Parts: sequence; structure tokens; C-alpha cells
Amino acid sequence: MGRTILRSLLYAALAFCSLVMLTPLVWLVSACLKKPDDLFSYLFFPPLRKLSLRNFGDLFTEISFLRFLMNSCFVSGVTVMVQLFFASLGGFALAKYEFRGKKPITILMLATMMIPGQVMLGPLYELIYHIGFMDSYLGLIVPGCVSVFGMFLFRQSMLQIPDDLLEAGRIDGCSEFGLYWNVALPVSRPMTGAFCLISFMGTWNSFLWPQIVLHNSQRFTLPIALNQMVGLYSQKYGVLMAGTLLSILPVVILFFILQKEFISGLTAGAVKG
Amino acid sequence: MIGSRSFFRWQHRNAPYLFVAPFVIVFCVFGLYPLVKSLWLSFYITSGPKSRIFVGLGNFSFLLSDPDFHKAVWNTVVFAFFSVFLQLPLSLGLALLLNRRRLWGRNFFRLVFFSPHLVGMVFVAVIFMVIFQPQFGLLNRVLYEFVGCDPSPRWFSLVKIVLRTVLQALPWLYVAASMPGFHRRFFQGRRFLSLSVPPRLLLLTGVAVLVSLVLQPEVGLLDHALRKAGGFSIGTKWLGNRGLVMPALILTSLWMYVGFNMIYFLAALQAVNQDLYDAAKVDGANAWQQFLHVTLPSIKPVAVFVVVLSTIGSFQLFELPYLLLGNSGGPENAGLTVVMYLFQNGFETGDLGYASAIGWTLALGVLVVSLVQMKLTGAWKRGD
Repeated sequence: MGRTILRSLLYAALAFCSLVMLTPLVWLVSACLKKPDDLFSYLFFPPLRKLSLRNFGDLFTEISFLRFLMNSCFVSGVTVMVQLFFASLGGFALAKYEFRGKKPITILMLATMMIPGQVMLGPLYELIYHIGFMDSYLGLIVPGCVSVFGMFLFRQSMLQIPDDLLEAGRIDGCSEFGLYWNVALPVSRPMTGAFCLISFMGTWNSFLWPQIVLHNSQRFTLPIALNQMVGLYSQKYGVLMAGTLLSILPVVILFFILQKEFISGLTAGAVKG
Repeated sequence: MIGSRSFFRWQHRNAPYLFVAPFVIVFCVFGLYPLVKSLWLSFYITSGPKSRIFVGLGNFSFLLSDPDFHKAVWNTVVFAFFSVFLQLPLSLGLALLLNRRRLWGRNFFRLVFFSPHLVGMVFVAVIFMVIFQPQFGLLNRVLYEFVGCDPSPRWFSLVKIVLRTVLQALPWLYVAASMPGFHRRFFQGRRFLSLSVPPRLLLLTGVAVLVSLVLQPEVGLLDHALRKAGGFSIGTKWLGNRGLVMPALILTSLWMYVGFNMIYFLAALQAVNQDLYDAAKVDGANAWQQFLHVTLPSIKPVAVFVVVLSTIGSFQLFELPYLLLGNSGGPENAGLTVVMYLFQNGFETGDLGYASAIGWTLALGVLVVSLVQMKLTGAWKRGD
């Protein structure tokens, strides 16, 4: 008796929390599908016959939304790939080799992880300005292509590779890079998935640095473009919401592909200590 | 042949250096160098990339007397405080709910609670900017219909009454449900009835009574506070009212991060050794005692990690207020954060030196706060 009540209470609480968490997202979807006039006349979805996709149409015709989408895809894609390569290669070296300077490098990187990134904003701006990377994708990709966090993530997972396996590979004449490519990377596949998503979310959503670097609206990434739309289209909420929904979608899709790896990767560092 | 063998030996000897080289080079140029440079730059007043005047510790001493900076620090600290003391207990609570054995749909609920985190902060800000709108915004309309002081449709009053009744009935339902246990204890006569009430029951009753008191119409705390604050109306400007800006920011970040932190707690809870619970049950510990003496100590490392992580995260708050309030920081700077102030000074006023000084002060603050947290929670000695 008591158990049943407790159990139904539990489900009631969970259902209530889910409702609260989902409300803004459901509202977002509903706002995209309403005609501008109906946006505030209905709290959520209007009757079926009043639904329209006009907001999405406006998004692609009035604003060069496709352009922003491609920009974001390009910048995020390249950054993730380079980050992945550098971080896994470095992580492999830190996990499976002894070399001079290993300890100082590790300590130095751990120390910089403690410092909030905004500290270097000013000098990095100056540097990018002097190199001539201002208002270009290089200014976003190059400083963003090293992830200390990622390197430690890979180091952690590659520590588990048995040395005997690598030694056997060497005797068979495999080069060191071959060991990385054919042994270490495949072994840490779950970590690769997790890192891809974490890193993709980081670059896809990044705002402060692109806001500083990019000036030409042709090169804007989605967060910057949306921020600009807030100013320009402040009354066209429907279009704004449609843009927001489409900006979130790629992350959501990637999340569903990599969901399992992501959750385990997220908590790996924390739980194992 | 010999050439290839010597290449093999060469690449074996130098492999680790070659492997870390790309990372280290980019890291040094675009990570370490700006970091060191910013320390150097913080001793200068600059305007644009060309002109630069050495002021020694002048920037830092100016920070100490800069009222806008004080305001920014205060706002950031308030935000961080609520991130830790409001958000994390809720995250832990959700994780505890989901950690029940044989819970149907655990993965579904976990996904739902986590889903807001998939929305990047900029996009969250855009969504909530519309949700916080006066007159038409979702928040005002929902509040208006559920707790509004204004006359609301009759069927909503009915919902309110039902909600309140259920809340008030809950503890008594629970008492009734655990009655046999009471009887047994009472008739054994070992303790007086009032002393044998298990603490969790007292807690539950207390919470339910408190919540229903708060929700009471007219005399209830919520209605009272709303009337005190000039009454809730559908035209409430969440982002245009000095006193409401911070609650709005906290609410938004609550929505974003509660499920994200829950993931950590849930993983930690699932890693707790079940034998410990069995042992505690043998010793006669009730649920609350089990939580206090088994669960909490077991998840402590993760809890400390989450506390430090969310403190550091909240200290770096930028996108949310920047988009919601514009770069001015809202009415009377009510939503100005440290990083926003850094951005204003560095990239609008153009004084990168002062911005660097703000940055290093922030870094120092973050460091001190996380060290204090680790020290207080005793994680310091274990070296993580």
C-alpha cells in the first residue's frame, strides 16, 4: 500500500519535472509553426489548419540562413577534426611513452586548465590581428584547434592499452604512427565519439571569440548571426525561433548518434577520479 | 634497406616528440603566449593595438575602487551562489529519484532532463528572451494563469485548489500508509509515539505543509511577496526590472544545467557499492540515515567535482546576460557580470590592458574559491 503510493508519487514527481523541462522546447517548436499573427494568440500549438511553415521559408529567402549554417558546419567540422587528431596523438604520447619533458608539459597544461580562457582574450586578439587572421575562419580554427581537456581524456583512455600489444606491433614492423592509427585510435573509439560531441558542441555554440574575430556578415557563424537577427528582426519572433530551432538541430542529431559514448565519456573523468 | 632500418629506429626514438609537437606548438603560440602576455599587458593602459602606457599595478588598484566592477563581481557571486546552492541540490534530488531500482523509463527521463543542455547558451538566451517578454511571454502567461493575483479563469482556480489539497493531503496519506509500522512500535511500548516518528516522515510533512502555506491564497507567502513587490501582473518585465534580472538569469541557467549536473550525480550514485546499503539496513538505518552515512560519503568526490565545476562555470557567465540584456548589462547594471565587464572594456572601450587586469582578477578569484571549496570539503588531502 505504502509502496504503491510512494511509487506513484515518484512517477508524478518525475512527470512534473519532465513537463517543466520540456515546456520551453515544445514552445519553441510551436512558435516556429505559427503564422506571425498567431504567435501570441495561442499559448502553444494553434489548430491544425493554422499551422504554417512560412517562418522557415522567410528564414531562407529573407536572410541568408543557409550561408550561416554552412559557415558553422565548416568551422565546427574542421575544428573538431583537427582537435581530435592533435588531442588523440598527444594523448597517445603522454599515455604510452616515456620522454624528456613529459612531466613539465603535463603540469603546465593542467595549470592552464585552471585559468579561465577569457584571461587571454586581449593578447590573443592582438596576436590574431598581427598575423592577419582577423575576420577569417583561420582566426577561429587555429586558436581553437587545441583542447587540453581532450588530450587528457585520450591519455586516460589510452593508458589502458597493454604495452605488450604495442610491442608486438613493433616486432611485426609497424611504425609508431601506425601503432597510433591502427591500435590506439580504434581501442579508444568510445572516447572518440564522446570527444567529438563535446568538442562539436563547444565550437558550434561558441560565441564570444567569433564575435570578436568576425566582422563580415558573410562569414558569420550561427550564434553570431542569431545575435544580429535579435537586433534586426526583434519583432519577427517566428523567424527568430525557426532559426534557433534549425541551429539546435545538428547538435541534437549528433547527440542521438553518439548518445551512449557521450554519457560514458562525460562521467568517465569524474567517477573514476 | 639500411636506410629504412635507420628510419625505423629514428621514428621509434623520436615518436613521442613528434606526436606531442603539433599540440604543444599550437598550444604555446595560441595558449601560453597570450596568457603570459596578458599578465604583462595588465600593467599597461592601452587603447587600440598601438598606444600603451605603463601604469604598474594601477589597473588593479583602479579595479578596487571601480563601482561597476564591484557590481559585476557581486552579480557574478550571487549567480554562482545560486548555481551551487539551488541548482545542485535539485540535480542531486533528480538523480536520487532516477536511481530507484526497477524504475520504468529511466533512460527516457534522463534524456528529458538532460535535453536542455543540448541547446547552446546563445540559443537558450534567444529562446528565453521571448519567453520572458511582458504581456505575451510564456512565463508571464503561465504564472498569470496559475498563481496570478489578477482574477484568473475559474477552471484554473479549480486546478489551483486541487493542487493545494493534494499537497496538504500528502503527508496524511503517508502517515496512513505507514500506520501498521506505527502500531507495532506503539504497542510494543518501547517509545512514546511522538518520538518514534521517523525523521524522513517529519521532513516530508514539514515540506508539504510549508509548500502549501507558501501557496495559500491571499495570506500565503507567495501572494504576499507578490503584492509586496507591486503585484504580479502579466506585464512584468523580467529583463527590464532591476530586481527581476538576476532571478531571470538564475531561472534560465537552472533550466539549462540541472539535468546536466544530474548526469554526474546519477553516474556516481550508480557506482555506489550496494553492499554498503545492505550493511546499513542490517544495522537498522532508515532511508535518511542511509543517505547521510552511505550515499553522501560515497558520492563525495563527484559532488566536489561538480561543485567546483559549476562554480567555475558560473564565474565565466557571459552569453546569457549579453544576449538577454544587451551589452549594457541591464537596468542599473543589474545583470552585468565580470566577463561582460571584461568584454566591454577590452573590445568596446578598447583598453586591453584593463581587460587583462580584470581577467587575472577573475582567474585569481576562481582559483581561491575552488581551493577553498576543496579544502572545506576535504578533497584537498586526497590530491584530486
